[in-house]
Amino acid sequence: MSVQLIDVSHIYAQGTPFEFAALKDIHFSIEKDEFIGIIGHTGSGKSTLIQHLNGLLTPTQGSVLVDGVEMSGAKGDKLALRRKVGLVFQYAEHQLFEETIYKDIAFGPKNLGLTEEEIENRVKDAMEVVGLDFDTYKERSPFELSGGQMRRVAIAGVLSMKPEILILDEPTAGLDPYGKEDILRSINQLHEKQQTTVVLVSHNMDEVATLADRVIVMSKGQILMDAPPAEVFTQVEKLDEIGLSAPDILYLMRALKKAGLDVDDKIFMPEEAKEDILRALKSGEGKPCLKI
Amino acid sequence: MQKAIEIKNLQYKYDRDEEEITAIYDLSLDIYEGEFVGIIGHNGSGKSTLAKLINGIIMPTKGDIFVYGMNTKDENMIWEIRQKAGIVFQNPDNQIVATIVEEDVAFGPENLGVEPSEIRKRVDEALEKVRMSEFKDRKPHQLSGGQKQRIAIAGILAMEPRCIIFDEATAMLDPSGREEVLACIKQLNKENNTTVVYITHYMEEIVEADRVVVLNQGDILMQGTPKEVFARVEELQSVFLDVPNITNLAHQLKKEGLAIPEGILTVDELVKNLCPSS
Amino acid sequence: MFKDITIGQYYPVQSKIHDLDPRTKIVYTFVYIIILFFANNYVGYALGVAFLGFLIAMSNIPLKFVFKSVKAILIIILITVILNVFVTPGNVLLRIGALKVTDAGLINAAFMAIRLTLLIIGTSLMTLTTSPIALTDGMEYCMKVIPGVRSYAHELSMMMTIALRFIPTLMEEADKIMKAQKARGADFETGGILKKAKNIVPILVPLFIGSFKRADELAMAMEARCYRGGNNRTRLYELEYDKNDKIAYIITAVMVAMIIASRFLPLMRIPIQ
Repeated sequence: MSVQLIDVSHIYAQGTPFEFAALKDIHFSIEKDEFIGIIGHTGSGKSTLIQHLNGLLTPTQGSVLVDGVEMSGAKGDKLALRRKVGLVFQYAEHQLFEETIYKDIAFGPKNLGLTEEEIENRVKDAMEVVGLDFDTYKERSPFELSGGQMRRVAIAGVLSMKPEILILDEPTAGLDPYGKEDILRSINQLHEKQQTTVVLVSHNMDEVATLADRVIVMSKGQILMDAPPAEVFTQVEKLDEIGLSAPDILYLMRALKKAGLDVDDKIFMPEEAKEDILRALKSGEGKPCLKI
Repeated sequence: MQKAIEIKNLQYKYDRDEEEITAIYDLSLDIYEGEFVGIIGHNGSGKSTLAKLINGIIMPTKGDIFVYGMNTKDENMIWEIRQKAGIVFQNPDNQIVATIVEEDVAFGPENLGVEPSEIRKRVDEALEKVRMSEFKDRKPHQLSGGQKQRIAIAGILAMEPRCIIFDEATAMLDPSGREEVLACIKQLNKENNTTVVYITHYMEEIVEADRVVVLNQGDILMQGTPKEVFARVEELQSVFLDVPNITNLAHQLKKEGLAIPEGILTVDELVKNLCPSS
Repeated sequence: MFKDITIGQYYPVQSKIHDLDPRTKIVYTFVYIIILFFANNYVGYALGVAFLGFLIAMSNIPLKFVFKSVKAILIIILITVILNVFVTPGNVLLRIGALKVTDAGLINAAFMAIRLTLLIIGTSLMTLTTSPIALTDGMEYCMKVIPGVRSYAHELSMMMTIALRFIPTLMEEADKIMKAQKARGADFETGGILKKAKNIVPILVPLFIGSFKRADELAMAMEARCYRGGNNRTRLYELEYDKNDKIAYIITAVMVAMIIASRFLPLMRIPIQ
């Protein structure tokens, strides 16, 4: 499925002194199988944008099309839209409410009116994706888990809806490095094995750089860049201007090139950087750098 | 140098669901006046428990903690300990008490029974130090995360402490918020000579610390200068800590046989080592 | 989106009334409520209306806002009026079946309506001109003078302050949780009242759990900042009376004297119970 936003604007508290335009003329689409990273500052409109993708917010102007069908406005079938587009909010563990992990994850599928058997299958699948053992955890209370585990239960609660597009708002915020990696691994698996389209909202450049194949940079309610990571992250000056910084490996490669080492200054992944630095050092003659 | 905090053979156990859990095994650590000590460890390593123990919010099962010579177990001293060693917590929303910024900053000195005119002076100074003076009449919920956290710091500063413990004070902030709070803390340490105990799981934040202490399962795994600690990349990764990208890359390059030192922390340092004669 | 909603009905403009000490306004409101019951003829009521009108004019608050509070209790006023019209004995003016309308009934009903309206406008003028924080402060000071509640004064006002502080935070959180559950297919709009009540559980439970966690953390943070109740505590702003407060107290006294005096005017007494 595809979601298209056509000239979408969103204004909060319209007609009051607190009027605030959170989105201005947003125009973009999500195609099947994409992994999109959305970056931008707090207040850049990221959260408002993703809430339009599953009908939680309706545009003040413009329209949202899902597979070519108008979804915004009163006639749009919002429940059907939410079935297809799953949204995991920031600090998603704050939405847990059931006595057992099983019941909490089953909340979504139950709202869809599925059979008990189908619900159980979905809960099992969702727990597997986030790396929680079904038999060990299903009867436990979600509130006795660690922060990272609670987050995973909350994500499973959205996965059990079997969305075709999964949107995650800062899924790793506040977790320790170990918990972070766990969650990112699950998301990546979901994308690669189950062909789920993923939209990842993040402050963390490295996260987006490693996972996404398309990056959208937002600033002041507008889309500033929309391109593959290599294209976005190499525009360091443009990112600096809006107070975002590129992955630090990129800064290193640029500094090395300036120092006289013949490296590719568009590299931002650590692994590639290592290979390229070794290659450059090996071939370097008469350069002010180490010789190997 | 005077010891700000002295931790002697500290042990802390607590009960959860009738199960005894040892959060801190046998920890001894001295923190000196004016130092910037980074304490790092993954969740469950005992680092937040340590912060609450130093502040006398919880009591050691065994061993002692002395804050400027006062034992945290001494009930008569508890308020003086909390005044001398303030603490800033993780969630900015859950530590602001008042509905107006300056009244919140005044909360600590009010509790200490400071004269109104002196409170006024302290509040203004504290807000100045965290560069939030122009926000003194605002409501806390209208501020950004980074601004709220700076208000929380000002609230502690107004109590005129000599040491501040930051318990993952930047964990819930976005990158720019984290930067502004960290800059503020570094400045306090340098210009105010405030002793800083900085608890975090972000390694990048403590590359400029005087000393880094790595906690794992309620024990000190290693300590030393950031350089010494970050040189031990594999050991850190084995306790689920994230080494900064540049440090990790330098480590990988060294493993390939390059003649560069361990514990490289910044881009500039790595460039200098790779291209020494540039 | 909830960030800028003002809590309570405080109307933030500059005025002499806004600048008065909260204690002055609390005392005035209290006295005004009591003195209204002393008025027993139209001169008394006219005085009540005049004093209140004077204050409203001074407060720079649009009349529309002042009367908004009356709207909320319009039904109560109507019921009171109807009861008074039909129940009060006196010279019968009109008969509708078993019901009688008397002259005393009409007068009584009119005065009751005026009295209720004045009560409501009088109290809401206090909340319109005093920020919740100042009101809390004022109440703490006022309670300290009353024996019996004196020892709880600080605690009660601290509770109110914290409540005011967290209302916007919790509103935002409720909004977020509601959206999160909607994203999981929860439906809050359709169904009967029972179903709707049941559907609110997925919002209330996380909200409660979140609040308890906040309460716990806040208590710890307050303790770490040396909070130990109201004893020996000082304040950044001590409440202090200035010239205008003294004038306000004098005006209050004049009002009391005039309304009590009005009772003894040789006018028709209205049999108000």
